[in-house]
Amino acid sequence: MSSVTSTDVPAKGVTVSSTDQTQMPEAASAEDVVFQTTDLSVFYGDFRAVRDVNLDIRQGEITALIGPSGCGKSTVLRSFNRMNDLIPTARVEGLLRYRGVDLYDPKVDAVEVRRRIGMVFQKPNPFPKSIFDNVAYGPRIAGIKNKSELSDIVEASLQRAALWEEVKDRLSASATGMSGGQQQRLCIARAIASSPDVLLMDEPCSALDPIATARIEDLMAELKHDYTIMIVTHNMQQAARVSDRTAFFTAEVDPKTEQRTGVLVEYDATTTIFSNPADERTENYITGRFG
Amino acid sequence: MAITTLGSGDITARVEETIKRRGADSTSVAMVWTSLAAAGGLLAVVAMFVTWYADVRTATAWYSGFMPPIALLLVLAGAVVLVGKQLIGRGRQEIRVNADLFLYTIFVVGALVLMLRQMWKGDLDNGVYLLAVPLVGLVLAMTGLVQKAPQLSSPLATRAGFAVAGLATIALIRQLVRGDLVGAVYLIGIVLSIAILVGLSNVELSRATLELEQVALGLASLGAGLIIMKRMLDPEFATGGWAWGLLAAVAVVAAALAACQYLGVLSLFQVALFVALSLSVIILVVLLAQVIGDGWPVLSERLNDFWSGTLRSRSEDDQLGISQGILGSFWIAVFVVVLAFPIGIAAAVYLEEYAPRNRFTSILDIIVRNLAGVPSVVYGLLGLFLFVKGTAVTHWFIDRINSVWSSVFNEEELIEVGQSTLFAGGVTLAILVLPIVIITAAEAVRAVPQSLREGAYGVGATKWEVIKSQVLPFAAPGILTGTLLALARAVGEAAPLILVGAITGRLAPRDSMFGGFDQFFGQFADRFTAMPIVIVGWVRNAGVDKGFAPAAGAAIVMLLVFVIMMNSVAVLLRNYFEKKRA
Repeated sequence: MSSVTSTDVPAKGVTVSSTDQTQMPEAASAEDVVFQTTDLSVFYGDFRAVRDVNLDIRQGEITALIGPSGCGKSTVLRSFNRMNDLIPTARVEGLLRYRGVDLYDPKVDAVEVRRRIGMVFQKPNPFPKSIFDNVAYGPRIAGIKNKSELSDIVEASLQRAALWEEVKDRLSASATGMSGGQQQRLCIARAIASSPDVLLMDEPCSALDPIATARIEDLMAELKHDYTIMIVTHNMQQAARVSDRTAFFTAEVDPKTEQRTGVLVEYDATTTIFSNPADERTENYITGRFG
Repeated sequence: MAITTLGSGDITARVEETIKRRGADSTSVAMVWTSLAAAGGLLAVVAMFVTWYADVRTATAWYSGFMPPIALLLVLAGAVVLVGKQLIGRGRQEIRVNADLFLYTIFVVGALVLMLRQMWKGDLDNGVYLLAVPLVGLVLAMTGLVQKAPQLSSPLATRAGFAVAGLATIALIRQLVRGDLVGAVYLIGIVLSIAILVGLSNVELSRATLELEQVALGLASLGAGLIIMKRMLDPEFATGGWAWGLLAAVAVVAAALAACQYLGVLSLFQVALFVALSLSVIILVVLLAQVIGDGWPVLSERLNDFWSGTLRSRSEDDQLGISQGILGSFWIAVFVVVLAFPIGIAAAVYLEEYAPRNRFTSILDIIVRNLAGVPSVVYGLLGLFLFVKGTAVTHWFIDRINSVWSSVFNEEELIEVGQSTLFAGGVTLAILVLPIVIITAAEAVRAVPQSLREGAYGVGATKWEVIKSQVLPFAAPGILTGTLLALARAVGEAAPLILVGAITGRLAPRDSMFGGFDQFFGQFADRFTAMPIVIVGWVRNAGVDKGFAPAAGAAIVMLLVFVIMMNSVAVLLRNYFEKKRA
């Protein structure tokens, strides 16, 4: 963490004031909290896509973000590794702390953030290179040149992504020739290879068939022992199956401008959200009455 | 009116759909046609210049006349409106539409003023020509109207389009009756352009805008080419009348088929596309056959000598050949590769990846696109003033180079100001193709999927690492194709080289091209020739000395082989890189 520079020292026992509509989980100790957002809003130009999100993401857990389309869950996820920086008009208000460090502090290097907080995208996006080069891409730009060291990382990453057995004989084959499910696991391996702390997954299974989806879900259960995982999903069963905590977002429509702004409705243990939600909107959504 | 009902509803829906799909990017649609209209206006200005410069009879009128400044002012006003519209009218649809109508009016008035001036002088021929050239700009402006405000101006634009086509047709008939085939072809080109543009505005919009850019490019070169050809094909050279007739027939058929497509006969349109394709191939084959036939005596008997021979004053000379032309063209290609490619690709990467999206960059974008449509003659003028005659700035630079040169080699100056040097020719052509390189490279960079960039950013790549490892390799096939085609164009250009003073007569052969450092660099400061110039020179001499005709034919074949080889390399390289990225 040495290169994420910040003057902020993790404040022990910081608790976040909860708004009246957002139920916060019981206060966690500072070491367990990976991300902590305080009134996080994301704007695209003048348009406020998401407002006032307060979330504590905990170490070693899978946190699912669910909600109807256009409620800003992907936007929130992409602000966690500053992927929104790539959109010129996007900006963030409020506080987003990663292990106590303000991620949007001007002194923080977005590139370094993305090295620590890896991302898997909705559509598998392997580079048009060999399987080996895909996985080795992260380590290489991180400065690892030693061939055997790279091979070790590639093998370990592919093992962890449960892909090694399938591709070990054709590491130099092009990654674009793989099946969709394999490509997505390759993207996970590519993210792991940079040895990140957190994995952000933006609807990683939406382009995959049920069998490939099941494999990815198994993989996530494996990976959560070493990585903190956040996943955006449209599939409520998936959220219920894999996640420890679930955040439900919805979109509020401004009657005057008809603009849709995402809000965090409820954030709690997944079992609570799915069995005994506190908010009526959550209940409506998970029972399929809306959205 | 069946035509308008068919057109307007469809277009409206399509425009809205496209704008919705493009989201915030919808201004680029407006930008594209704005640049087209500006290019059309520019073309009109340039054509006026060329017409006046090339015609001694009207040269005095140029200096003393009062109409040209008015016409120029009008076109300039059009440009001001265009730029002002980008600055002020952003997001305000109605202002834009009004400005479009204003622009449209300006073009019409400009054209009428020019025509009336010539009529008043009793010069009917030039009156028609001068009317014809601004019409191209008019058509481009109208296409913009169709795209920008279909619900408002589509019937207007369509009607105006047909009116213009009608005017041009009247002029065409007049020329045909007078037996002026060259002028007729000129007008057919205009009728054809209108038909194509009206047809294209009906095609799916996103694709149409792309093709419109190409059409604009084509129109610009067509206009310039026709003007030059008309000058060159004076009576004693007008032996290829049948070729013009064929061209005219092709143009008429293509225009008719384009009209069929406009009327909604889609299957016929597909047939039309095929017919157009085969006709263009036929023309190519006919031209090739004629050229090879002309050059056959040389190609079959003394090809080796022809390669190593030099420029001679008499065609019977055994030493007559193209070695100097080939060498000149080679060095021009080197200049283009060394100057235009790196600068152009770097500029494209900056524009696409680094530059913020604001007014300045949109204007920059428009300027680059317009520069790509400027006829090459204008670049020749630029090269003449900048590198041959020399401005204060170039003098300063040349003095610096010369002082370094003389201090190192203890010799006189390397580059002489006021000389037509290989350096001047090479740099001029590099500048000529620079916008083309920028545009094609920018298109290729833009086509790189965003997901690829995100994937690389996602594992912590810096911007430059993303560009270096993902964007450039993925865009390489497109960049390569564009740049090599630009190179082929530079090698085939004659007009700008004539202006910067390539030699068409006898050029003393150098003792050695690689005989030492100062020998090597010295040749850049020498007078030079190039393949197209050699051809022009021999074709001109063929009027006096018939023996030069086969030599010219053979030289054309050589140039064609050269260009085809270059394009083949482009195709092979593109395939190689495409396979590599798959």
